[in-house]
Amino acid sequence: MTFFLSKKYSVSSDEELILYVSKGKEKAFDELYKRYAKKLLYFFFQKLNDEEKANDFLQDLFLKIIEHPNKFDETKKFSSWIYSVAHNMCKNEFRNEELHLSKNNFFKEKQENNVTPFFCEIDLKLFNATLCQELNKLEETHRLTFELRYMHELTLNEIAEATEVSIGTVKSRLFYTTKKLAKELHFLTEK
Amino acid sequence: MNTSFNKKIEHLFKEKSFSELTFSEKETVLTSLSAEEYDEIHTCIKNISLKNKKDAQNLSIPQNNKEQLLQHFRKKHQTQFSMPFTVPFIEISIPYFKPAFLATCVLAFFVIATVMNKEKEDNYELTIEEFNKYTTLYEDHMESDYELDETTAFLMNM
Repeated sequence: MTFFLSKKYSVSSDEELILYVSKGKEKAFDELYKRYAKKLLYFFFQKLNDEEKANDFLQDLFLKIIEHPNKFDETKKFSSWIYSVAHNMCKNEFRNEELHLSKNNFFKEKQENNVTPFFCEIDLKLFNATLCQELNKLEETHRLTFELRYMHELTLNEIAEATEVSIGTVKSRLFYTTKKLAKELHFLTEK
Repeated sequence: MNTSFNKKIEHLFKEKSFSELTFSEKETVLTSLSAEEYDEIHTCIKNISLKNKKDAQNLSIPQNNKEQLLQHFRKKHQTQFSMPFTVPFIEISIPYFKPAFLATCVLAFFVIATVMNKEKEDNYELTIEEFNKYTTLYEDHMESDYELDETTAFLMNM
């Protein structure tokens, strides 16, 4: 009986869920959290390089959603909107303080307790550090496009909406950025 | 000169190195990139993908974070008065429930209206003239069925 009485939020789209959230449906918020919390935590971690800070930002972002769900732009996809909000939060943070992004100390701590890394410890740290360095050399828009595509697996349409450019621009940015990064990181992957 | 990857090429360099491509796939790739460039990108993307999986495994969200958010949500959306044990009819997800419920309400309304109307007809009120006509005895209109004898006439006139 309970099965028939509960609405199936798990099959609702993200856009429908945010609408239910604005109407006070707790289960809709719960479903939205389930879908996006881990992805956004990873996004913040990529930007801020600090797990604790990333968790704080994640809390702030969801608090914003609770307080102002009607700020969602219904003409856009929810995923594009939430990533652009997250990106803006990070931009504001970067304006406030200078972040040290070249070394990833998180992996140094975690690797000590880790059992089986995917590949050699040194390779992982070096690859990570070099990737961060090379990404930081890029223009912000190019870096964001690359990260959204290959680290957060957004579609080209979603990236175009989040960055407010055309799909053609997204494609050409990806083309040049990917080629450039691949060339710069090639020395690490040569055996 | 191509300035973007098409979807097929993008899919390919996530999955295969240049040497693993079929002949037609190689032809497609070579329209945009050299073999060396393709392999560089393939290796880079593959390593990023492995790194992503590793990062995702290591990151965790504290348990009470979600609870705090839900408490905040409840506080923001709490209602002044809520009846206990009420079934949220709007949220019932039986197919065609809402149209059936609406049709039942309309039918019930129709039945109640019909019954009330019928009772009204049964409770028809007579006018004063009709009441007098059917209840008052007019001796003038009555015909005597029998002849009165002297005694009976005397008694009736007492």
